[in-house]
Amino acid sequence: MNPFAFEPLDSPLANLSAASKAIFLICVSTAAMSFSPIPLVLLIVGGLLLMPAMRIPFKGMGRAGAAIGYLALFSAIVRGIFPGDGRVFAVETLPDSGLYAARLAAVFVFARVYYVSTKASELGDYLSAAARGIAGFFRKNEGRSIVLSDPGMMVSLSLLFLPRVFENYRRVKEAAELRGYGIRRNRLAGMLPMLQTFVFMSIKGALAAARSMELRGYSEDRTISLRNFSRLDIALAASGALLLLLAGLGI
Amino acid sequence: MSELFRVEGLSHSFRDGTEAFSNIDLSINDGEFIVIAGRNGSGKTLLARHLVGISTPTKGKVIFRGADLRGDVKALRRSVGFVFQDTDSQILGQTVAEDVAFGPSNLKLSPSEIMTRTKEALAEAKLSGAEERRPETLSGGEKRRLAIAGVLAMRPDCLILDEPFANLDLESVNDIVRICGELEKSGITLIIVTHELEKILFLAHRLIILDKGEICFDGKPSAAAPELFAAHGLACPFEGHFPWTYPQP
Repeated sequence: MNPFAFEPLDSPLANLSAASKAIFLICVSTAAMSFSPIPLVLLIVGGLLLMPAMRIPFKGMGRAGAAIGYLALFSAIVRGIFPGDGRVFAVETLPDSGLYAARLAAVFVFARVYYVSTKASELGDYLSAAARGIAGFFRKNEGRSIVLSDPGMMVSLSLLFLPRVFENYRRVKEAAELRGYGIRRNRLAGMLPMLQTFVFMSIKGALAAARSMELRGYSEDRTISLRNFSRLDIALAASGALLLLLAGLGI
Repeated sequence: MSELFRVEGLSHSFRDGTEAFSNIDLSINDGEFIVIAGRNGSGKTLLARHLVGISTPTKGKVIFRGADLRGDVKALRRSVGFVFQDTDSQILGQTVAEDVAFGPSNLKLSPSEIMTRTKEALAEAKLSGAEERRPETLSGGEKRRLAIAGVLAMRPDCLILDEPFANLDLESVNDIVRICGELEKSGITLIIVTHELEKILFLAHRLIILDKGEICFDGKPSAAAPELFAAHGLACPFEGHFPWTYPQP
């Protein structure tokens, strides 16, 4: 569903630019993929300590964390199972599998920090500004215009619309259950009208949102206000670059 | 008072041939406070949709400030706000402030002007302090006020509210009525589509009753006879009548 769990003003990180945080996330993720075990563990511990310090709750990480755990476990099994020498599992592959799991964990922690402190619309505005910049470049230098619509608005609307789709599904399912859906063994027969209603509700919701946008004068040339980089933003981006440099030096 | 809308011979038929209304003529002036009432299915919401150009007439036309709506609707979009009965579908922002800023940002205003308008609209809708809340955490009444704020931020000349009191408790109804009262004093044209006349008619300058696709009454609310309301499926809002004149099932 919507990975952006932004609860505004909860974290001081929410006051930083989405772009500087994105630069930091890209740098830290890339560095995590090359770090040796000790700096990697330090990075994970640093990320975990950063969360309470920046008032970011651990709550809500369980399911996604478990999914990453399953992925790491699957990877470890595939890496070690039936090595071809008659054994069932090659134990010596476990350190490498552990390192892979730690790398995933590091990316997960920092990605979580990013998503809960960033507005989807802010990130979307950067996308739209970039699209406008590219279109402007082609118009100026190539003498031709290319069509790049408003990707930021698309991101924003998708993230707005997805939870509504799930809510619609829940409503339809509850209404069906209250009228006996699930009592019969053959659920398929009851599922078709449910799906029909669900699809109809979703299309109706999408049309209503489009109509609302039209009534409020939606234009692809809408004003986009991007946050200026503060000193803290520069410091954050620079610290990401430093981590990348350290990883490049083989630390 | 200058003319805001002129409806000329407006007819609307559905695809199955059912006629929603036919040959409606109407004139709405700047600064009027109009209540459009009628029983369910009388065509009042459809009429409002025609006024904002989101339904297409079968015959006739709607003229906004002298220009036919079948042409350019840009001027209409800047000047006329519409609040749906289902406010959930009208919310387009991840936070309350973002949602209110959606309209002004489409008017290509400067970021500071957008912020000013957003704050003012939220204050008018008594939602100051809720700027960073997620819209889905708001109550039904707050969502309705958010939808109104989202439209007010565009500083419209005319505001149309479709069933603004549906599913609201007394306190929320009073909030909406108070906002309407303040908007009426500011000189904005207000068109309220509702059958809950007892809640708002005392503020209105003009009452239009639609029934079976026809305008059955158009005049000052005080000129409407109590029997008229019951005859058109409405509860009489006048003192001493409501709810006793409501026809027994």
